[in-house]
This record gives sequence, C-alpha cells and structure tokens, in this order.
Amino acid sequence: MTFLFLTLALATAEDDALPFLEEAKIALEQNRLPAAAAALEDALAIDSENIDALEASALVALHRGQPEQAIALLERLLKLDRHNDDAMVTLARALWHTGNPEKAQDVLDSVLARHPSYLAALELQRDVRSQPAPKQSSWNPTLRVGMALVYDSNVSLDPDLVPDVPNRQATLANIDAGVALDYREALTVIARLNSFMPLHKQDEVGDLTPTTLTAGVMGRLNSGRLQTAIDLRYEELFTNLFDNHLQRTLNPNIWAAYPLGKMNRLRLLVGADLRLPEEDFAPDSNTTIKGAVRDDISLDKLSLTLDVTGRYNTGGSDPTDALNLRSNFKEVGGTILAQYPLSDNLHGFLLVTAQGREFEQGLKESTYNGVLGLTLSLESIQLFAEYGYATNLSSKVRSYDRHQATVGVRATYN
Amino acid sequence: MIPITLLFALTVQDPATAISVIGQVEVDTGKNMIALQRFDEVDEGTTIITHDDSFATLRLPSGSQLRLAPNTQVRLGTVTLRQPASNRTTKLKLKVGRIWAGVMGLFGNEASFEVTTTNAVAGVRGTAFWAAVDGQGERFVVDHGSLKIGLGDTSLALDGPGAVADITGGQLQPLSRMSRLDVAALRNLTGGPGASLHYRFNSNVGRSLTPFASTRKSPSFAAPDIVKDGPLGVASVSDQLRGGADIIVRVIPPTE
Repeated sequence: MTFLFLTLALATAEDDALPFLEEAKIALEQNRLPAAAAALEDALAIDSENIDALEASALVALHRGQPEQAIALLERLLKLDRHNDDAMVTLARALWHTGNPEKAQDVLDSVLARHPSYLAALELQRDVRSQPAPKQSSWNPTLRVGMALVYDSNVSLDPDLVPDVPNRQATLANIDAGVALDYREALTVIARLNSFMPLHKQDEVGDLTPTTLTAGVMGRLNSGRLQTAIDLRYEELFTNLFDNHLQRTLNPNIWAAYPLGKMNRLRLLVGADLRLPEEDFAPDSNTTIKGAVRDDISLDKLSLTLDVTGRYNTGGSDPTDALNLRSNFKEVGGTILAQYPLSDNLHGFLLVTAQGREFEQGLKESTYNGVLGLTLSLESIQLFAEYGYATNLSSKVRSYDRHQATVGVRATYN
Repeated sequence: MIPITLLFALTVQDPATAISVIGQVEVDTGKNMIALQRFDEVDEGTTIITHDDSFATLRLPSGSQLRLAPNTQVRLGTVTLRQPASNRTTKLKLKVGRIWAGVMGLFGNEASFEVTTTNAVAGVRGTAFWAAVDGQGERFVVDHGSLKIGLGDTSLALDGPGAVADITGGQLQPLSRMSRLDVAALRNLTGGPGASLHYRFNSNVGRSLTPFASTRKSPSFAAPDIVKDGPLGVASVSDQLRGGADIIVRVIPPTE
C-alpha cells in the first residue's frame, strides 16, 4: 500500500499523458489523423511541455495542411528543446508552406551551420531555393481497382430467382473498381462498381451473379475525440452483368465513435435500408431499420472488431415477398473480425458472423459465416486469398451450405 | 528544482538535457544519487539509471538523441566540443539495459559517436540504432543508416533497417535481419509510445521511412455497416449469401 501511495504521489504530468500518447500512436498506425490530433491535444492539455506530443502534433498538423498550427507548436517545442535539429527542419518546411521561403532559409542556415552535411536540410534548401512550396490540394483522390477469381459451391442471390438450377457450383470473375474523393477530411464522395460474372454456365447461374453500382457521400464532423458521420449510399443491383435490373436501395446511416481508453474505440450506428425492387423481382418496397454497436480493439499487433447489429424489417403489403424471406423479420447478428500481421507484408484475418432471424409468419432461421483470409501487400498492390463458409439452418427446404474461395489482386492509388 | 549541473563541478560548457523523464530515473554523479527531473541538465561522467517501467530521453548538444529503456544504466563519457556542432566526439558506456541512439550526421575527420558495451564498441557517423546489454550478451540493431561494431581485432558493418548482430561467448555474429514489425516493437519497448509517434511522419530522418503520400487516409469503399471490405465481407449473410434450391408450393383453395 505504501509503495502504491508513493507511486501515485510521484506520478508527473508526463506520466499522466502517456495513455493519450498510446492512443495517438494507435490512431496514427490506423491512419486516423483527426483522432490522433485530438489525442495529442489531450496529452498537451495535461502536459504542455511534452516534447514527443509537441513534435508529433506539429508533424500531424503539417501533414493535414495546417502549417500555421505546426509553426506555433514547433516554436513552443524549440524553446524547450533548442538542439532539436529535426524540429528545426520541420519548422523550415512549415514556413516554406506558409509562403515564407526567406524565413525558411534563415532556419535552414542555422541548422546547416551546426550540421553542414545534414541531408534533409540540404534537400529542403534545394527545394526552397528552386520552387514555391507545392500547394496541398483540398481534394484527395483515391482509386482502387481489383480483380478476383471466385469458386462458389452454391452460387446464390435470393431463393426465388432461379429455383430450378440443380447444380449451382461455378467459377466467377469479380471486378471491383472504386473511386473516392476526400475533401479536407470532412466530406467524401464515393463511386463503386462491383461485378461477379460466371466464367461458364452463363445460362444457368448468370441470373444469380450480382453487379452493383454504388454512389455514396459521407460527411464527417469531429468534435475533440468524438467523431460523427452521416453516410448516404445509393445502390443499383443487376444480374447477368447489366441485363436484369432487380432493385435499387438507399442506405442512410449515422454513426458516432469515441475512444474508450487507449485501446478501445466504440462506435454506435443507426441507419436504414430502403429497398425499391423492380415489380417482377418483388412486388413491394420495404424498409429495414438497423442499429449497431461496434468496438475496435487494438491489442499489440492483434486488431479485433466486435460488432452487434439488430435489424427490423417493416415489410411490404404483399405476403409472397415475405415468403421469400426478404421482409417482415427481426434479426440479431454478431460479428468478430480478428486481424494479425504475420510479417511485414503478410496479414491474416478471421471473420466470424452469426445471425438469427425470425419472420412474422413464425419461421426462425440462423445463418453462420466464417471467412479466413491472407493479404500480401507490395507497395500499392495487394494480393489476397480468402476462403468462406456459410451455413443456414432453418426449415428443411431452406437450409443451405456454401463454400467460397477467392484469389485476387487489388491496386490502390492515392 | 535544482539543475544537477549546479550540484557539482561546473566544468561542462554544454551538457545534455533530459527532455523526457517517465517514472523513476536517477543520476549517479559518483558522489550521490539524484532523482532526474525533466529539463535537468546532465553532465559527462554521470550515469543515468532508469528503474522498472521508467524511461528517459536525453538531447545531446550535437542534436543527437538518446532514449533509455526501463532498467538501463548508461554513463555519459567524454564529450569533446568543437565547431560546428556536428564536429564533436561523444562516448557513451552502456552498462546494462537497452538504449536507442539517434545520431545526427557527423562532420569532420575527428568527429565520432561511440557506444561501448562490455565487450564491443559501436561507432557511427549519422544513423539510429539500438544497443542492449544483459546477462546473456550484447546486441546491436540498426534503426536506419549504418553501424560499425568493433570487438577486439574484428569488426562488422551493419547496414539498413533491422540489421542485427549479437555478441555471445566473446564472438561477434550477424543475425537475420529483423522485420519492420519487430523493429517497431523494439522502438516502443525502448522509448514508449512517444518514440513511435513522429517516426513514420518525419521525412527528415532516414531514406527508408514511409513517404507521406502512402500514409494518407484511404476512405472505405464499403458501407459503414460492413465489417470487412473484401469480396466475401458482406453486410448481412442472411440477405446476400442465401442459397440452396428452394421450392415454394402455394396451395390456393378453390373459391366458390
């Protein structure tokens, strides 16, 4: 007890700031810059002279296109840590970005007087003397293109589409292409095409292979460590590439995330899926309301995501749609996703999902799904392999098993 | 708070500064032990001692940085001052524990930065590396840059991130290069979370660091209710993975 008392008594502001530095470190590893900036701000509120927090805050601010803020932080830092030559070079870079090449050169002169062969300072000096600072665009585009081969033991879309295909085993080609434009971390516009096409048995399973076109817009608002977002998606569903149009859906979602401790990030989501089917696909539109709680946990190298979702479908007026198990149901589902880096470039993941659904007519069913995958990252190229198994337990005629194996490649540009 | 410099001979013109002190850290001046506080000045000839769960970071006058892991003892040896700041000689003695040294590039023929352990001497001219000493032996790991280790008449050059060598049984042995993940874990172990914070964003040090462009936030293409964005990562398996031949028989009773 005495030891505990002494430990508590000796704790300094720097000790108290440690959990926030840990939180910022995790956020940076996950490229969540606003969350990292908020955690560092909290660290500095407790310990305003924390050198690591000041330097990291300045670098994050510069990276987010806030050179004025970076300069203020670096000037505070250099009063406390005057021999920090790295911070001096960063200060020169920030001054250059604010359109002050002369001041940047003055800072570089003082660094190079101490270290005449300091490569980073020499390179920056060359840039400062030869050109204006590159303008940081407010729009940040990301492009992703992927191709995959999918073996599917039981190609399926929905039970009533092609009820008389006895053998649904097929090999499919998958094309997944998306573009996103991010505006100052506050607004993102997304467009995506995701299509599965049979490599054989086109006539038999073509009507079961989906093509989706998605457009989305997401607005984010950060208030300290609380992150909130509105996400609106519009999706068109086709089969047989674009031959048959089946339905369009509108998915509005609102979510809020808040860090609970240094390793947990809790997210609450409410949303709806508004389904507008073509008349010959389903006779009536219907709405599914959903709410979800998700916790992202970082345990050293292991990342865990736990998600519990409840959904309620208000159904349509036509009872035949309900018989096809698309409406008038209550559902509860849970998902666990574990991700682990096996080496620098190789990551593994395991996804396990269980869902229980009860229909107004009394039928109860449960669906279990597991996906095991590996991703090999080579710069901006990713090679991936996944195996998935799903099983549905309900009535004798509706239960099914499904195996899926995927190998593919994906390229990302940003 | 009394600067340690004032407690004994004022012979050093430009001492090191403790820019971070977490937990219980002491300085052995040879005459007495003093608790180290942040922004205290630390002179040559003193030994810095970190205890359990404690870290310390020193800024040397040359701009170089020294991070001490828990349960470490380092003696600040000779510091020969010259102009410019990069033309100086620094000698450290790692008695036990683990340190990370981020050494600013040296300039001039007389300049050097050396870390001695029980058996070896590591010399650098602009790099960052870890050195560790425990009951089993000694280990040197390159963070970025290169490192030359001398053991008696033999020497070994280590180059590039993760290059590692051990000294066990009086033998200097290069080992398999450590992965980036292991290097990152070592960084955290030696310097706590603060050591990892600005590493990946700092384009000033090391040519091997992650460039800015590839660390940008990538927006998720999947809707927010999807847990894993991939070919099989669907929002609701109940909806989208349905299969099996399904036959619905509807019996419509004849109407009168």
